[in-house]
Amino acid sequence: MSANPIPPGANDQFRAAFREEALDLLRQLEALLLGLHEENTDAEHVGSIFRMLHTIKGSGAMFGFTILAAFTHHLENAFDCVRCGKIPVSRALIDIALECSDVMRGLVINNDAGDMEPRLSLGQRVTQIVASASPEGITALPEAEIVPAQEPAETRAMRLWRIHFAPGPDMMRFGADPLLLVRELGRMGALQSTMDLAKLPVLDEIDPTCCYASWDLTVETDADLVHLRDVFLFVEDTCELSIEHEPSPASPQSPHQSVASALLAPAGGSLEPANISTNKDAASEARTARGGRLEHGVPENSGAIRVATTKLDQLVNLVGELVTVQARLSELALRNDDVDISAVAEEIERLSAALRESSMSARMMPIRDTFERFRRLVYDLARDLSKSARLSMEGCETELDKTVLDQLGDPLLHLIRNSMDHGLEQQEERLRVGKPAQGNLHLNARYSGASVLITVSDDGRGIDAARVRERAVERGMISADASMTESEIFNLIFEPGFSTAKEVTDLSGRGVGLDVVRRNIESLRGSIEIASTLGQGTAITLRIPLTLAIIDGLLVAVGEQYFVLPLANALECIEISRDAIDNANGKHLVNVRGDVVAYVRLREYFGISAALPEFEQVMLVSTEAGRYGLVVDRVLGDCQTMVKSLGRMYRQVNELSGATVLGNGSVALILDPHRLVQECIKGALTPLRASARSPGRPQSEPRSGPERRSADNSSPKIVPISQKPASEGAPGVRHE
Amino acid sequence: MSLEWGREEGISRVCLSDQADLSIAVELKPALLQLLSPRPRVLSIDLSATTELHISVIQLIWAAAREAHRHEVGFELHLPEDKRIRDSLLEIGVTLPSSCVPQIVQEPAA
Repeated sequence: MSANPIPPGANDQFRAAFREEALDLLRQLEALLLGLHEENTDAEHVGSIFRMLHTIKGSGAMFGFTILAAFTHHLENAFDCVRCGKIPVSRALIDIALECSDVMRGLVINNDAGDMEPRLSLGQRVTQIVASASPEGITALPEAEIVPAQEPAETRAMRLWRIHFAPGPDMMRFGADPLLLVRELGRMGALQSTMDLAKLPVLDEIDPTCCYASWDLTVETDADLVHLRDVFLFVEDTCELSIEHEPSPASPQSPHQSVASALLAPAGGSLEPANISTNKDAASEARTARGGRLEHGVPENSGAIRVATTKLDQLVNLVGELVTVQARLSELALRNDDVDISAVAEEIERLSAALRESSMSARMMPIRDTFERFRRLVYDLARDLSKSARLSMEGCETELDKTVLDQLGDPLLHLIRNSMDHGLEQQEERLRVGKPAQGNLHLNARYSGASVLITVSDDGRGIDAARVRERAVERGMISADASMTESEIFNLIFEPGFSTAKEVTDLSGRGVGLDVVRRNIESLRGSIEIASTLGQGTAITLRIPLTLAIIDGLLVAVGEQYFVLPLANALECIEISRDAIDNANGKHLVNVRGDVVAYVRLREYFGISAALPEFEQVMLVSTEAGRYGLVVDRVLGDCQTMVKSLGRMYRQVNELSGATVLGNGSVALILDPHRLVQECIKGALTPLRASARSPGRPQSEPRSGPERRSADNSSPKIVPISQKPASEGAPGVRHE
Repeated sequence: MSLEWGREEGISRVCLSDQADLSIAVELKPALLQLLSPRPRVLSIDLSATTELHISVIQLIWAAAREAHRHEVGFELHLPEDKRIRDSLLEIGVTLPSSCVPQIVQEPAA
């Protein structure tokens, strides 16, 4: 005999798909549970929760997640009772349901994971809630993790249903198993079932992934049409289904008896196909009759597919490379002054721009999911801290690159925990100071140029700047006579180890966390701003770039050094003569139609020594600090720029957000105008900041600024690429 | 799960074990086609070690049984040994073809 090893289960892909779907459903379930209050017992809301649980249970069982299915069954029962008005919605029920959703999530991720005891105990608590509130009382408590059969409800009338179920050819391809559906019907009551293989083709023509069998079933059950239909919830669109009620209940024979003869029948007899008529119209009518119900199954034509993030990353990387090659082509066309190549280069530029837009938009996701995750956190924290808090959200449709979104979760988590722990007061304290008993935590996202601003605000006690300062002096972070703005004082809370908390709680107070928040945000090339009014609340705003991959930029040059300025920040360009600069007495100010605008000369800032042109260009940029000018030698034009991260050596260089390779092969540094201006402002305050530092404390790396930079080619932070030592490899920027 | 098949002295045998699921069915079809061509005397399918039978496998077994019947090839089926498996199929009306092996007439002893 020859052995043909079977490759690892083809079902794995279906199980993986189920995991993804189930995790999505659990997220929705959690949101629905959190939206449920004693006052909000909207039937549709409760119905949605029930159907979601039913879906998770049914499809879980279908894909072999038997423990999940068994566990979910308890909660499904409870919400069935809520749906039927047998038990009321209570805080206890919501809390237990949320606990159950956590356990279910664990079971989805790892079907065999975890200790059984807590699950059983949770299942018992659910059953107790149902039993305690039900007049009849439900005494049977779960003793083991076996998918429980539908408990017989003596009080409900038994009815006989005739069901014709013919799976469509695609049903099994979507991962559904018809036998499991028929089995589920069997759990609802006495089932008589006949399988028909009339449509089974000859062996040679069979497609193993198609289902050719159909079933005629009669089931005597107390379940109603809705419950019966729920069994087929996921597959109704991929099968023929008719469910009809028989007026008088029959006494079905034992299914064992009815099929035993068939099983033992001689081959000749049993191999003849039965003549079964199907009822397509009835099935479609039945589908129509579902009207208005929430669907969780596979939509007929959803117009969307799931794509692995790695595939999108690969696509964006390739587009990035294409952009670089396109730049080389444009450069070549320009150099050779060839009209034909220029025309092709322009066409490729247009196409690559469109391709870039499309591929980037595929990575953009609304921030809603990230925000929604915190509903549960706020709910749990409010309960643990005995506070009353409400989470409101705004701008949930604001889209961000998925990579950015993935990295935003932790910083937001820290900020929300801090707000809940330190910001919002206890109810009594709030009432005493004339605030509503319930505190408000607000999440807001909005676009600002090429960035998104995400604000976490609360109406709590605010930050006591005096206390922060006092604490910073105590810890030797600043000297007692340091002159600092309120904003600088607030920023101290992001210093490692800083905490004003009188006591350390489970949540915060150890001074660990906010420095990590800042580090995480800065790693995203973002920044943090704090605004706080004592007694009124705090708002922490994160400025995050929309995407980390490809940006539209304006290529500028100083001497032989190229820079890319994000186009989203560029306002306009004006010319300034060398005379005007020379006669300004060192004041870096330019008059723009009557407005005085400060400027930074990149030549001086980065210490680039090159021949001075007669006229320099002032690029006006919008920044968080207002409108500023960046003076360059030449403005070369717009370009698509694939952002490459800078090497470790340049990690501390805040003014640069990355580098890119130009069409001629040279490297251009990508400027971060916000930070550049911030650094300049900080640089101007350097003497004050220096005096603010405690003499006893080792001074940290001085921040960069124009004063320390001017014509200083040996600056440890900025080394112009054109002057990079050859030993470190031209052009001095390491690509990662 | 595994699928083993072969032919010996005019008997084509296929043996399934553990979970006979959709992926097994995909492998089973070409195996059955090979086992039925050229025509064996008997096609023997052994499900005794299976713990689960997917409908796709059941369909193929039926098709193979019909094919055998059509070409007067003997058909032998060993049902799952586990009674629970057999019962669970019966409960939902799933039947399997019966064995139909031609009797070998023994020559009377001289």
